[in-house]
Amino acid sequence: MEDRYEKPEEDKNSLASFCIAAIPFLALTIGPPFANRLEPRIFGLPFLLAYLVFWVLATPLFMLVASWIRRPR
Amino acid sequence: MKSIIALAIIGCVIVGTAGLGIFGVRKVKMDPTQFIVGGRSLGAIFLWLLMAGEVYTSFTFLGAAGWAYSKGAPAFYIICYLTVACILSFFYLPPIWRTARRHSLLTSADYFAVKYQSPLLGALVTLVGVVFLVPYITLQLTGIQILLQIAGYGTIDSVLAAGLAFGLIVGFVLVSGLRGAAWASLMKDALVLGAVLFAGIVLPIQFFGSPKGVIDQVPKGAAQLDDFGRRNQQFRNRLVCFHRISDRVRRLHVAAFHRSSLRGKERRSGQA
Repeated sequence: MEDRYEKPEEDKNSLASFCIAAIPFLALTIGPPFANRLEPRIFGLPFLLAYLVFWVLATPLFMLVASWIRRPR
Repeated sequence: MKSIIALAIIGCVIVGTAGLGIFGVRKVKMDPTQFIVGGRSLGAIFLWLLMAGEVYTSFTFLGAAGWAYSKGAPAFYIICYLTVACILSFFYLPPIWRTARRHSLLTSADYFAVKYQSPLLGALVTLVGVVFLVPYITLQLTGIQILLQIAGYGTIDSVLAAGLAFGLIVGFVLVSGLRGAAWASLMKDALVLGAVLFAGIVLPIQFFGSPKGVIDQVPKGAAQLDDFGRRNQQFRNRLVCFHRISDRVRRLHVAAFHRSSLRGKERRSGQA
């Protein structure tokens, strides 16, 4: 039980998980100026809004992969 | 009558939320660790619910909506920044949590004092934290005040009501601590989700036919705002208006000067 709270051993994969997490991070910080368009509409939303909503919804998947890489079962 | 219904709903929500929070901690023995960090044993799902509940405040509903209404697309940053913050937290919060657990720390000030071996830094963090909480709480209280003003249809004294609401919040927090707040988040999350679905789907269908209808209305307004000629015309109108006012002031001055000089002449002629 106590082990759970100690520093995990599997830090060797932290660079890989960092790279995976960097994808949605960059998409949401550097990406928006390049997606700053009204057309094409996606489900009636302006392209920029649809782009942001897509990346917000996709982020948990990326983070899941990132944490999975760090702590293989 | 409308105000009674609206206020009754708000009252039910407050009592229900506080009740849920107090129900959640009824068997918990309160000590500082339990009060501040929930005994470090909240668990992943409960912590997730708590964080979701803490993220959405009256800023989300009033401030963000108002900002999006007045400024347009720049308000989209609100969608991004929390997600970005969560990505960063994934990497830096677990080490902080481990350090805090090893040293049995309770506040962020404790963390800085221990991590950097400097009680002075801890004191500074406390000070900064308190100072920057003031505008935040002011913002939330203003939000409560606006809500009560609208819900009361102008029939209640909103300052008094906001004071009362603040008293209730402080009382609730003192009784329930972090674990109680997490329980209250259950109710809050459900209400927020319901309100978002209502505002995003029901209101657009009611007033614009479909959610797409709202978005279609936006470029029409934006086109008007971006019309340089129109803005130029407005600017010119304002200039003309300003000129008219200053001209009137000038004439009034001239008239007053004439009158006083006339009076002076009369007086002088009267003396003569």
